[in-house]
Amino acid sequence: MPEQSNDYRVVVFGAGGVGKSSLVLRFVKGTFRESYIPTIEDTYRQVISCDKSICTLQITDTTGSHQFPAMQRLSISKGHAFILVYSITSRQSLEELKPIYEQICQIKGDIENIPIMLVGNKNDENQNREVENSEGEAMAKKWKCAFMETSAKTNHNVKELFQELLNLEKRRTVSLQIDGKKSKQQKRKEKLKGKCVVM
Amino acid sequence: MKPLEKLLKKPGSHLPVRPAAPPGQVPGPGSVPAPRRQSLSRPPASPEEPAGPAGPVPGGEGRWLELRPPEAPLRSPEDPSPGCDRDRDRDRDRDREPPSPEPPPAARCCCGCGCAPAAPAPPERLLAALLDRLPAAAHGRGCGAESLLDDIVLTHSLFLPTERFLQQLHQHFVLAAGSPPARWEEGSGLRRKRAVLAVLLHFLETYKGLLQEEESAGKVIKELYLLIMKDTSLYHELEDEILKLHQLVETVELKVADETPPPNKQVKPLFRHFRRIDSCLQTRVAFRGSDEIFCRVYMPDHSYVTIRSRLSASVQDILASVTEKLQYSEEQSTRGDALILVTMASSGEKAVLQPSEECVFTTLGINSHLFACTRDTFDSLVPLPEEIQVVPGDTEIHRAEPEDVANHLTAFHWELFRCIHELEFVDYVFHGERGRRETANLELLLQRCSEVQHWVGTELLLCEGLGKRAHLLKKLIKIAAICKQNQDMLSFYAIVIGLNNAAVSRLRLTWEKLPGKFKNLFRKFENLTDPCRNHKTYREVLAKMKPPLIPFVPLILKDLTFLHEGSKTLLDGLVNVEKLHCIAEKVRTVRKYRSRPLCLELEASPAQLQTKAYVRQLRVIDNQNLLFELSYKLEPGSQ
Ligand SMILES: Nc1nc2c(ncn2[C@@H]2O[C@H](COP(=O)(O)OP(=O)(O)O)[C@@H](O)[C@H]2O)c(=O)[nH]1
Ligand SMILES: [Mg+2]
Repeated sequence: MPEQSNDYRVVVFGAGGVGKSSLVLRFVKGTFRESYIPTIEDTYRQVISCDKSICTLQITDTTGSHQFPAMQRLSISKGHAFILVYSITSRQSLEELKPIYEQICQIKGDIENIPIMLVGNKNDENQNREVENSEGEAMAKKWKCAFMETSAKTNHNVKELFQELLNLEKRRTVSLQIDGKKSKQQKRKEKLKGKCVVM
Repeated sequence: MKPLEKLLKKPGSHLPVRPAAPPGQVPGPGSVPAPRRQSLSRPPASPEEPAGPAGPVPGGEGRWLELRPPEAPLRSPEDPSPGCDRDRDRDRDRDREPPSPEPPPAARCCCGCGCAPAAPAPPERLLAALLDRLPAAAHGRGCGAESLLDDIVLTHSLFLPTERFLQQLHQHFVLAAGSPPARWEEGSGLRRKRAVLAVLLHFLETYKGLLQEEESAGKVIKELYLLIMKDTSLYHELEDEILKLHQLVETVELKVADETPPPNKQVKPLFRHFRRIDSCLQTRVAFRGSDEIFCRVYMPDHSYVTIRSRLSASVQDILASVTEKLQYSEEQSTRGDALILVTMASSGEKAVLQPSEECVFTTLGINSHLFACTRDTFDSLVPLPEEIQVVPGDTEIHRAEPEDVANHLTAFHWELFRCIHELEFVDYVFHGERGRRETANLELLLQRCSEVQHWVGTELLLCEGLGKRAHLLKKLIKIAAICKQNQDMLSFYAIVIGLNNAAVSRLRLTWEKLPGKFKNLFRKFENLTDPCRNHKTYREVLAKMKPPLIPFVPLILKDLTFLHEGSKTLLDGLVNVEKLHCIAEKVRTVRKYRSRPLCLELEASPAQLQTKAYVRQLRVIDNQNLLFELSYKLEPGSQ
């Protein structure tokens, strides 16, 4: 399949119910819902900057189950960066990330150059915590990737998560800010996120 | 636009354009195009025909039918159809029968099959007339009654909803089980019950696979089935038939409300987006309305959500799922901001779908997509970028042997052809006039047919080198030849039409490089697909073929549409039995084509699997403007 345009593709993986869709929707639209609707595959687009020009950030939200292995393989091979989400309230959900991580390694090979963020979501639910922050950090170290705890519900660390992920990209300069080829003033211009209406 | 329409509209398609759709359907910016259902292939309901079954029978006509002795063949008194082996019988009958008060317009056997047609009857009496004749068939007195039975089971939905038809059948049984009317002879009650059983058996055989979709019809069948099972008089006489009925009722998986639902069906990947997965190599099975499928719905910025939906879901249902997914808040969905569903072709042609439209998925064009947007954003919608990047052609087609490509085409099209239920042919043509039944499998085949046409053009036009392109042209002609040998006239026709696409046929330099032998061969193919004298050449070739074969299905639909539009179903309250018969005859030709399995020996080597996967998920450019652009780039000076 020929490389498609200059889109930058981020894929979100993780067990069902850990809050993948919530994180993405919080980031893209600033909303949160309590109800749970299983995801099959959704992709949201945002304008960002990449190597000083405007490009599209594609965030693909996947299904939690392993119902569609072929679709999973396809998203990995097309993806540039990955977010691996577990819930701090479920040790099981951290365990379930292992096979996905391994598959990314297998398909992408050169893992150290691939931006990957391990995310412990739902950190607003401290009372139900099963996975300590340090355990998440240890796992990230082992996997040679970055780590962060978030809450889609309280909007804690959500924007930071995506910004940090893009900062990990070493092969090009990708940023949520649109700085383009313009002056430094414009560099600090408001993020397009708020303006870009994603329906 | 639906594929068949496209085919009918295409200049090189050989099929005449019928006047229903005005040219220039591409809506100007801002205009909301007419609903797609008003299409060539599905003429809008003709106003002459009543929407529901007719009222009470006018006494005279009913008497006219009752005068007939049960054994007498029911034939049109006016029918002079030549070449019928029972001509003399008919002449004799003609003397006995009172003249029809108002002869139907199509008294002649319109399909030319030479079968004896039955007389027209009011909708309510037709089933009774059939039941009267049925014992004759049971005693082996010719095919007349049997073919009438088949005619009516296949086509009753033209004048009577299936549920009503079954209710009538049920009533006949109850009536026969009670005290018979005085004029009935001894044993006629039993005979009537046997006739009902025969109709029910034939109905179940024919509707197999469709009944789980029809809850209310299922209920009536269950009731009738229980009545029959309890009838000991019937049981002693007809043990075999009763057992057969029992088996059939078991296998059709009737959906009755108070029973536990059947085990969850697997979701079937239907769309291009999901075809690039392993499942494309699996044998295709038929789609039903209750099947769950995945569907992508795009937003104006080309974000998308994937929803899981029943194949038969309405546009309203689809929009509800999308709204829910997107957390489209209540303030947003106030009247003005409510979402609408739009289909958009790769050319940018777009149409708003009406909320009540159902099963829209299979009617989408090849590279068309569904978009959800608000009314204000409709104008700004732009198509998704072409999925095919223009890379100098080096796809599987250049590597694979023509035999293998052709055989995989035939094998796949046979699968698709086999998935079509006989009744889909009837329902497709009369769609919208009577209760809706899905014709998804037929639509998918038509879509495929159009896909193959575009595939031919796409591959040729993506091939930059002149020599290589001429070589590919030769290969495609060879593939068409092998498909024809395989009796796969669908692939054959589609490839020839594809090569006749103006963007391809204008490539003078390429055609000049073709060896003379292949030029001649292609000329022959063009003759064979020549539409003159109603596709005479093609029909003659087809007539000589023995099953199994894959016909050029669009032509069958054209014939059916012609039959439908050429004569009325009801005339002065009488059902035009002649018309039913002709339509049923067409369906029976399809039955005949599929009466023997098509077996091709295909290896399962990796190379073969690669060819198979390629053939089953063709990636094509269906935007004619883009094809022309490519064509002019390759050979600017041609013609
Ligand atoms: N308390 C809390 N609940 C969350 C958070 N993120 C998601 N949820 C809830 O967890 C459930 C599953 O969320 P969802 O995003 O659909 O999970 P996904 O299957 O990973 O996409 C939903 O009921 C959400 O409301 C969070 O950060 N904190
Ligand atoms: Mg989700």
